[in-house]
Amino acid sequence: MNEYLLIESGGPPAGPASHRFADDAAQLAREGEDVALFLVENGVTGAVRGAMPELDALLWLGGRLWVDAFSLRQRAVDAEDLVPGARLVEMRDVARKLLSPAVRVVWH
Amino acid sequence: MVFAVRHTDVLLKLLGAPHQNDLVTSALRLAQALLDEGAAVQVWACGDATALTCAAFGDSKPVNVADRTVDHPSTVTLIRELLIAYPERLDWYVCRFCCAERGRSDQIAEVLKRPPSQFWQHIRATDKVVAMGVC
Amino acid sequence: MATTDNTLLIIERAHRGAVETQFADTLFFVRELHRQSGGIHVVLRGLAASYAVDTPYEAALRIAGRTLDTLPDPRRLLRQLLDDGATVFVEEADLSALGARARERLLPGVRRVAGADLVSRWSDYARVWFF
Repeated sequence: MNEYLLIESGGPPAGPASHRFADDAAQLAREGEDVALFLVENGVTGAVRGAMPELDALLWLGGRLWVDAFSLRQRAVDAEDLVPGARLVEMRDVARKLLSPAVRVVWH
Repeated sequence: MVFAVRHTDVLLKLLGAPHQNDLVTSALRLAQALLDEGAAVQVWACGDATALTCAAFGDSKPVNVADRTVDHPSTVTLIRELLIAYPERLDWYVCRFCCAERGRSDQIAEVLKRPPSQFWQHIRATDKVVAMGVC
Repeated sequence: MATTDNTLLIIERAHRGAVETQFADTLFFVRELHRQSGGIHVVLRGLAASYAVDTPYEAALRIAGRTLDTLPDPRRLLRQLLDDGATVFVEEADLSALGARARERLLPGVRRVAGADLVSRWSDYARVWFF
């Protein structure tokens, strides 16, 4: 089992590619990998309930959803409006995860 | 003399133009967070990201005529301050080809211009790469 | 034929470089255009709709030993634009995309509009610019 930190920065405003990347995350989880998908910048809007069904799949398959608290506040999205299971994180959490030797990181 | 790339924990490969999205902001936030964790970091800026350390920017953004008393530091200043704060653990490299291609060969002294032919040396000199942004 | 000399500025893209942009963001220039023309109407759609929603966002970051507290603050600029007398619309659908609670935090003075309703009024304007 591999450990992945996937980072989505565009989100639904960036178009279909963001949905495909979230699908990639779900696929990795489906294959038994340890997946954390971190939404940052405009990507945080993907965590709004109903915005990206792929995230529901990811969570159902045991993946984790991290949402950048700074980006979320910047974009005026209320944490109460996020999909259940989304966890607000700070950049230090991402740094710590990234520095873990076993973690593979992919930025989109 | 062969240039020896200092080994780092993380390399942030930065590709993307300023003012298009928050890529630059994220890169600086992530670099700061990694440095806070004690990590050694190198940044390789390519393409339009070479603009961030262009000497022509000077230390400050143009004056805000709506409030002339407030200084707005340029990305040059912010990156220089990061390099000064972490001399043993932060290096900032810019791709020499991209600098020339985009008319940004005049870079600040604190960053190092590197030929793209040597890029893989940097990949080998780090434990992890975060490839941020695309061409 | 336009019925006014007003200009409709449509802003879709948002959050385009907090650190490098600082005060000089889109709304800063919109304010200046309104000052010069006296007749700016703004439509916020896409992710720019978020500019019309109040948020506990502190426009500051720590970089090295500095607190960079001059990051863009679009809500402050929007309030100033409204005080200047500009008209500001936000498209309903894009507000909803920010979550069910977003409309509860709409800045006072911003008018909600359905996209189709506003497009029908384009011909009232002397100029319609995506900005």
